[in-house]
Amino acid sequence: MSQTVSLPNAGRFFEIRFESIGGLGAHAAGQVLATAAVLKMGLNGAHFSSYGSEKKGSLVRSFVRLGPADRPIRTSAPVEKPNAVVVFHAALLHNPATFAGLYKDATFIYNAPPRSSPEELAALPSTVRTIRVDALGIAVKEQSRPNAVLLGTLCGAFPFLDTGKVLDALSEEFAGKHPEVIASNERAFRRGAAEFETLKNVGRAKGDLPIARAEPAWGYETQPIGGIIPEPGNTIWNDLSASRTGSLPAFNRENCIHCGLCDLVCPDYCLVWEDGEKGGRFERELMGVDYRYCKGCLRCVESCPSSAMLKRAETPGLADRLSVPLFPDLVG
Amino acid sequence: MAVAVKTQKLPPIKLIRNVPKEEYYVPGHRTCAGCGPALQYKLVAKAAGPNTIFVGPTGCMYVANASYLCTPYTVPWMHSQITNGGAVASGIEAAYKVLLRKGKREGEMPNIIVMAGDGGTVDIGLQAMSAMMYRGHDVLFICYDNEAYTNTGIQTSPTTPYGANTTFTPPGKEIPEGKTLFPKDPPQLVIGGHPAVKYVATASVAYPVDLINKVRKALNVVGPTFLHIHCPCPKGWKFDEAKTVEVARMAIETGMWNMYEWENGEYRHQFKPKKYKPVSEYLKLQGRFAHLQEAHIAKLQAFVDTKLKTHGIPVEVPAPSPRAH
Repeated sequence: MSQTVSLPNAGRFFEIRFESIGGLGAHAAGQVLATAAVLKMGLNGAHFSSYGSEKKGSLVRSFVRLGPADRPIRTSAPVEKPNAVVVFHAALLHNPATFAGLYKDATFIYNAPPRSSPEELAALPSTVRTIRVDALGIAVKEQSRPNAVLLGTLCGAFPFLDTGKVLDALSEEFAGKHPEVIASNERAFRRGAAEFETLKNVGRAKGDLPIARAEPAWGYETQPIGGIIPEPGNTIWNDLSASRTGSLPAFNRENCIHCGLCDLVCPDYCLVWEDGEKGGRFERELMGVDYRYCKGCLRCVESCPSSAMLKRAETPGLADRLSVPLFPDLVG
Repeated sequence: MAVAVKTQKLPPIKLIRNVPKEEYYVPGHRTCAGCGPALQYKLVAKAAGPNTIFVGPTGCMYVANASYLCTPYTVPWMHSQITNGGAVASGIEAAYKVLLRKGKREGEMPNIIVMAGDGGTVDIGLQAMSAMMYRGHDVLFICYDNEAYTNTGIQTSPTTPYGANTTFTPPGKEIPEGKTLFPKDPPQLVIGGHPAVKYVATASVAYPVDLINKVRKALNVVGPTFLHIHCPCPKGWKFDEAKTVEVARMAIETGMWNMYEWENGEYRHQFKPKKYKPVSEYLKLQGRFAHLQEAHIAKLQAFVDTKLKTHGIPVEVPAPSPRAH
């Protein structure tokens, strides 16, 4: 702790926001980074995450705030104006809150396959440094998790974050419980630090982006009396595509024997059935999958007796192309 | 003028293709990918049909499904505290019966189902459930057993098996096996102490048709009934989410889970394997048992062997060791 690390922005904290889906490891990534900063780099640091109940697949935000050793951090408020945003899942780019509060000189890192540059990125300020890394692809190859790759990219993008020290903190985090993953995490981390691309001419916005504070649609003034639920079954308007972690079940109708086994093992009711042809072989026929609701557990693939459901890597736009709507009249 | 209360008669089904097409538990709920309890909920709702009222004590199937003013249930559903699922259902049943008897409502008596987790059944919710069964209300109480308090971060519950790694029973130097206590047996608890109960069964998500038939049979019985449903939890048990059904089936094949019906004092067993597999086959599928040593597995095997020999008779459990300090 002899040498001091100088932060890029003198006079204010260096603030990072991880935007993620539960299960991808944003909480662990934030914890490792703050630990490395405090214990190994002589900085002040704070980390906390916001998430719902314990489950995979819901929105998770993890916040890291770093400051010089002589400046105590007295707040644990969420990071509203980040110097860096790290997006763990490309589906989160659809959510405008992902970009909220970015400084015009901030850094924006997102996880997507090579050559994928979604149009939502136009909302970024034109002066923001935009970085793309195929964290999921690298993680799958190295048998690690996207969080190790993205931590590596973050350190690669900000040289003041010492690669060796963050890597040490990452290894120490797993040394107790999962010593077997240390080597694969290290490979994923190093590839993340080396294999990222800086994109040009992505953002169109000018200046800092405004901060977003979520205003609930219902409050004490607007809620129905007596705690009743006026629209039962209204979860069908939720889009759960972001819960999938890289794979989806692809339906091959030619092989299907319409036996219904997949329907009996699917907890999400995302399979679309229609009455079979009159006088035909089948009473009911499987038409396809509504990927809006599919969380990618792949249990239908496991249980299919005729190889009509196959595991397929999810590429951008694939789910939209294959999807068969379950409630075409209700959900557009 | 009193009107006789009409009850519903739900026919059993024989084949997968007779399973009703209609769903009363719609998608879009925020459970984990591969959720066992959500699958069970879907099948129970299918089996029970449209004339049903669900009571949902706090648990995964309330917290993950129902966010503020947003639910996946298209039949009437009511949240109750985790302690009082049985009490709330008793009130609904008593009120409905009176309304039907006085002719203020028409039609058949609805199916009233309490969908409680293992905590809401044999831990925090035990007294309200027991009182409901003691008073003899016409309610089906379902315990979907994912063997831990999972929505709060996987804490041990009274049905968590011996040797499981949970937030409250982490294995370490002092206590290498994790959980040292042996679990409660919910169906035996109900059978042993509730003379008003005439039908109790265990079911598993591995056998959906059997599950649907047991739900229907229990609903057709007038009076309190109890179902104990095994629902593997990929998050809490630490296994790949595609393997939920495989894990559930392995539990039956190793004797960790027993499928039976108890009706008016008589047992009928289903899916009883000719030869049970060793429990280690079940344990190795799950991360929560990864730390277990030979001696612990032997202890668990001995427990399962005794349970299988003396089916329906409470099993004497080995003393927990080493004692927690």
